[in-house]
Order: sequence, then C-alpha cells, then structure tokens
Amino acid sequence: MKGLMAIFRRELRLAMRQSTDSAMVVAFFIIAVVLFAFGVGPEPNMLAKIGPGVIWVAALLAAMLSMDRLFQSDHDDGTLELLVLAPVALELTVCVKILVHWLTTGLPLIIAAPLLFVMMNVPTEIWPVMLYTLLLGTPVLSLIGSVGAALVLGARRGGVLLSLLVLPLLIPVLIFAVGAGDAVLFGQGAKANLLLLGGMFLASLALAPWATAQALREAVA
Amino acid sequence: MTDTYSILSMTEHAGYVWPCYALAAVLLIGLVVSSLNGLRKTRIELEQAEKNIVRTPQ
Amino acid sequence: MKMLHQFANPTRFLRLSTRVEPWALVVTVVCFALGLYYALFSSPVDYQQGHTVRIMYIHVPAAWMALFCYTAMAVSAAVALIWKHALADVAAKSTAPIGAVFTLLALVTGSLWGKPMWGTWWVWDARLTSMLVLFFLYLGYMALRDAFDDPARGARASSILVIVGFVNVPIIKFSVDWWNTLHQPSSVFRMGGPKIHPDMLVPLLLMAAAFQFYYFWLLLVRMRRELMAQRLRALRHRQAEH
Repeated sequence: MKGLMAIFRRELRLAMRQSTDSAMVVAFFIIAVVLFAFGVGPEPNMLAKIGPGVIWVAALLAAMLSMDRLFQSDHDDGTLELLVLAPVALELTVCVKILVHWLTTGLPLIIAAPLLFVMMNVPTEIWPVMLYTLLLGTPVLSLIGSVGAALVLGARRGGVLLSLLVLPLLIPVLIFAVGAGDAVLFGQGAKANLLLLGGMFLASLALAPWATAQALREAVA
Repeated sequence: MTDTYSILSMTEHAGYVWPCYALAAVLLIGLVVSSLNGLRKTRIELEQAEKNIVRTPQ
Repeated sequence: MKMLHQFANPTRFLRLSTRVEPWALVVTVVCFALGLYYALFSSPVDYQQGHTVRIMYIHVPAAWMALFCYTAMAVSAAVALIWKHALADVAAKSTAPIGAVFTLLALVTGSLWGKPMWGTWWVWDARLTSMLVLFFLYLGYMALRDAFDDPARGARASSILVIVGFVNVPIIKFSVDWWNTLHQPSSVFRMGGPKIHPDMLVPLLLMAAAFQFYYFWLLLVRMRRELMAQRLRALRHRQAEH
C-alpha cells in the first residue's frame, strides 16, 4: 500500500506542477459551449432546449483532449517499464493515474459547469441533476478513456485515433446523462438514469483498469 | 408468381429497390476483386522473394 | 481444445483451405442465384410496402452478418490473445473489412428503405443508429490495427480493443433503443416492417445463407493472403539482416 501512496503522491505532484493543463481543459470546455451558442443563436429557450446536450458533448470532448497524455510522458521516458515492473499491482497503479487524471480534468469541468448552465439558460430545477450526472459520468470518461490511451501508445497520430476508438464506447454515458435532465423536465424524475450511470461507473471501474493494464503490458513488451 | 413485367417496372419503388441490389453487387464483388487482386500480388512478390533467397545462399 | 491447436499451424490450414475453398465458392454462388431469383422474381409484393420489401432481402442479412462478423472478430481476438493463437489473429484481421462492408451495406440499404417509408434518407431508428456505431467500432479496429510500425503490436492492441468493444455492444444497443423510444417521433412506421410472410422467409433465409457462405469463402481467401504476406515480411526481414 505504501508503494501505491508513493505513486499517488508522485502523480499528484506532477499534475500540480502542470496545473495549467486543467485550466486549458476548462477553457476548451467553455469555448466549445460558447461556439454552440454562436452557432445556434442567442434565443433563450432554444439554448435551454439544447443546453444539457451541448454541455455534455463539450465535457466529453474536453476529457478526450487531455486523455492521450495520460501515459504518453511515462511511455516516452521509460518510467512506464518501471511502473509495470513495480511491486505494486499494475491495475492499482492505473487506478491511481486515472484518479489523478479525473482530479485534474473531470473535477474542474464539474466546477466550471454551473457557469455554463447560466450561459445556456438551463432551467434551474435540473441544475442538481446535471451536476450529479457530471459527477457520475466524468469518471467513466477517464476510465474508458484510459483504455484507449493505453492502446494508442506508440501509435502514429495517437490523439485522433484515441477519440475514434473511445467516443463510440461513451455514447451510453452521454445518452443517460442528458436523458436525466430531460427526465426531470418531464417530471418523471431522473432516478433511473442516475442509477444506470452509477452502474456504468461501477462496471467501468471494475473492468477498465484491468483492460488498461493489459494494454500497457502489451505496449511495454 | 408475379409476372416479370411488373418486376422490372416495380411501380414507383423501382428507384429504391434496384439501387440496393446494385450497391450490394458493387460492394460485395468489389471486396472480392480487391481480395483476389491482393492475393495475386502477394503471391508474385513471395515467389520473387523466395527466388532471391536461392540466388544468395547464406 | 486439441482441435484448436491442431489448426494453429499454417501449413495444415493452407492445405485444408485450398480443399474447402472451391466448395465454399460453389455453395455461395448457388445460394446467391437461388436467393436472388426468389427475392426478385417469385416472392409476393407486400400489401403495404409494395416492392420496397425486396430491400429487406439485402438489408436484413447484411445486418445479421455485420453483427456475426464482429462477434467472430471478438472471439478470434480473444483466442489469439489468450492462447497466443497466430491463426486466430489472422482470422480476426481478415474478418474486419468484410464485416465493415456488410455494416456499410446494411446502413445504406436501411436508408434506401427509409426513403420511401418516411421520405427522409436518414432515420434515427434504433437499429440503424446501433449499426452506425458498429461501423465506427469496425473503423476503430482497422485504424488501430495498422497505426503501428510493428504489426504484432498492432495485432495485440486491436485484439484488446475489439474485446472491449464487444463487451460494450449490448450496452450501446440497449441505450440507443432507450434513447430512440424516448425521442420517438409519433408518426414513425416501425422499422420492423411486415410480419415475415412465409413466402418471404424463403428468399430471406436463402440470401442469409448466401451472405454467410460468401463470408466464409472470402475469409479463407483473405487469410491465405495474410499468411503469405506474413511469410513475405519474414523473408524480407531475414534478408535484410544479411
């Protein structure tokens, strides 16, 4: 366990040192949503109708943006071999890296989200639900994204390839997250959606690190 | 059995049925042609490579 | 399990496949001939859809084959990864383009079928949308496969991807169905179309058999090519060393 904490502290320190990364991710998140407003026009109830969907798609793309650097730096300077050979189980090391990635991208997105709820005139009664979906959904982005990041290590044009591989797998998260907002608007309550999102989170928490570790072993072998 | 005349005319839907079958033919036969073409090319290259092996014994 | 390893060595596979291939080709051509005859000439016109029901004889088998090929890819990728079975990996690599073509065929014929029904080329019907996502999964597999300089690395990476993708296919299908029923435009005529009339079953099954044997035959052809290409790469590699 001590080894794991050491890796966690290392990752956290690394992330803190380049804290501008998460600022860039949030900046992209805001610009993407603002672009939709320019594209669709300022008309309030139109924005309200597409608000949750646009915010979630922008969050998805923002998370993908910073995903391929998850293992890239370690792969290039060889620390990946050390991590694979370290006494700590690779799956746990991967979990730690995913957690740090979520802290530096997922969390900032959630913090920036209310600002966009205001800009997109999202009805206030669905604000809490949207925040819950972001809270449950963004970890799934990091988890499944990490599988893609490990798979594209050493590939040509890894960044673009990563999005092509991972985005189709994230469609269910997008559907149920945005569906939660509509469910509240229709008065049905979003319990079912949030439960399904929770289920997806737990499933990917259990399976994704294992797949990522396997992919990392292939990358190092 | 519906007579062949009405098949060919197929009333107003002909414009949708025939393109489907044409597209199926194009895609499926195209894939076959490209596969067989690849097979032939690889076989020729392989024979050449094996010939070179013989000429330069280790 | 012994049978599995028995096929592992390429030479036995090559000897066997050269014997089986002509038969597979003959059966494919016969099935296509019969299927097309029944599909175009001797099956009844649907009371509601008229002749457009004939599109079903291409669309439905193509959709079945699209899913069948992805499953075959996932199974052979798993075998390749777990037992380091080189031939299974060659099978997965050879299946991908065939599956992608079937998916594309299902998508386009689906939209061609949608046009006379709803007047629009693309309908966000649950099955068509899932087929579209499946098409992206195929593209992802093929893109990842040759994104690496070292083909073995590409093979292992894409094997993991297709297994992860396969686990997600039912979830995607479920969520797209749910999403479609939620936003169901009221006037959509169910894509299911007519109850399968017995006379229509014959051409449908014949065309499905034709597609199946087509896949089997083309798979053997592409696998032979891939094995030759691998042998060629090995020869060139060895030659480069001297």
